[in-house]
Amino acid sequence: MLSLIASILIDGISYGLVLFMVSVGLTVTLGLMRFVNLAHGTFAMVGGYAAATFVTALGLPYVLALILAAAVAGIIAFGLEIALVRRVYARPELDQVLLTIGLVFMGIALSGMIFGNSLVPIRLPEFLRGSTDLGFRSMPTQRFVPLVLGLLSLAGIWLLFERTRFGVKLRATVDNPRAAGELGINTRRVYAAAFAIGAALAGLGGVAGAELLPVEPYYPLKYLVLFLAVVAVGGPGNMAGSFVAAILLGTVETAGKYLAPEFATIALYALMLIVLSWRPEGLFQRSSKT
Amino acid sequence: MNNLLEVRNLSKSFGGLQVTRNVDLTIAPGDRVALIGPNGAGKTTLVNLISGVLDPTGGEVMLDGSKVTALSQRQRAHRGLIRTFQITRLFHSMTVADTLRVAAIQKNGMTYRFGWGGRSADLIEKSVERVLTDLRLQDRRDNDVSLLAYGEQRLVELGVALIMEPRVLMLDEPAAGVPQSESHIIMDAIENLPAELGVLFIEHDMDLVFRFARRIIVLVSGGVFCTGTPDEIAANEDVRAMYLGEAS
Repeated sequence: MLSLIASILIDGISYGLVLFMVSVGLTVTLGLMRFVNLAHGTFAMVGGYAAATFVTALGLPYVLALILAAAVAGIIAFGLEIALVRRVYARPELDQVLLTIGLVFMGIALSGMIFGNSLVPIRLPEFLRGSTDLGFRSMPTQRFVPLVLGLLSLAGIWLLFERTRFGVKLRATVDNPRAAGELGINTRRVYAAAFAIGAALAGLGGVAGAELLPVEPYYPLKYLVLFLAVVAVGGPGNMAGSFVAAILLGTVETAGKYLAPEFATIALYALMLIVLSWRPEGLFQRSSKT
Repeated sequence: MNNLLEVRNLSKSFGGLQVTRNVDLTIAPGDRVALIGPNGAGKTTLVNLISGVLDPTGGEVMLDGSKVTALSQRQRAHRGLIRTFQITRLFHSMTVADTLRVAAIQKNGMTYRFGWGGRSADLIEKSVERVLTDLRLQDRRDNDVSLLAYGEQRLVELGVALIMEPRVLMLDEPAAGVPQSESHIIMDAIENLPAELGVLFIEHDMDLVFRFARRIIVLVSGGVFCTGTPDEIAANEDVRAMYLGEAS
């Protein structure tokens, strides 16, 4: 029994950390920048495809491919923000939905055209292949990747927001763009950078979580509700909330897969419904320091 | 003493409506000048023109003898011409210290730097501490701005202006909306502003005007109606009839 609980926790937490890496950028754009970005999962998919290309076609080392894949997702997002996204920040939410769902379908069509419609594996280096004996069970070694990267992302995001000048300017900009602009903050640049950083993290999550959320053209649509659920349950704009929500949802779905596989997905959405009925603003609203 | 700020023949029209009419005014170091007038007299418009929020139709704004009329609000602020706003414009979800840090980062031109570290970080923290101490906000440094009393929020707004190291500070109704029980917070802060700072303030509260102003400019229909010391203005029958009487 104990080993079952430990297995659920380990697998659930690694799955949750993948969800966190992909979704945390969305909590910034949706909760703080108030931009409804349904295309966020596209950046995770881009990261996955980029890493697969770097490793398989160019023969780059996995770790380097991982970093470059995140950079590719960030750069594409930066370009899209400048070319398209910033034009709809002030537009009604329906316009934002239409633009970003359009980007999702373009992403699906383009990736299907370039990479085909089947799953694209990311070849792992020797040290991540096989399994690791944990004493009570063995675990695929590659599952350490989301565990390590997820925790590093959490620490990195905290440092970025709380301990950097960029972080304080981003918080000022999303809080009161007009006042931030009057102080001389280049709010457009801050928004573009935040959008790109969120997308780069999604790209990282796309690579790190490829075992659990395989890379394929329909990735952005298939997992969209899952990413939105993390943001909604955690409380839009709340980074720590997204972390807790991702771990919670990841663990509940994993527990469902272990205990009653046919109800696993239902368990996840049932949890989401219960949380949002109880707290429509999410588990954690943006905190205030008294 | 040389003037810090000199406004010459400043005018502004919106279509056929002239809202500022040939205004001249000067601010020297240490000046405390109140801008008063009935509602719609054009006080905020004048401050908007001086600070660069609005472009004038005619006239000049000079800072330290140089024309700044063509400069943006941000450029004027960088040269020390700072204003606060009538309605609080603060970062309500941020702490008091972080709000001041944002201003300090911008003031010190560290817009492209990423981390906190290095000597520049010391500079920022020193500025923040100085303003927190000057405004007696040390106990509030880690509180979210949204949870402060209204008077304290206005104090933080003043802190943001002070951290920009102004040479001329324009306060647009610094006590507006502040309950009587908190007005002493604002009064104390204005009283303790740096002595060498030139201050121009718009205020409807006549107690505050007569307490702090050493010179009063009465604005009517966009033009300067009269200028004088508080005693001269208080004794001016036309002003009493037209404005002070109305205000009382």
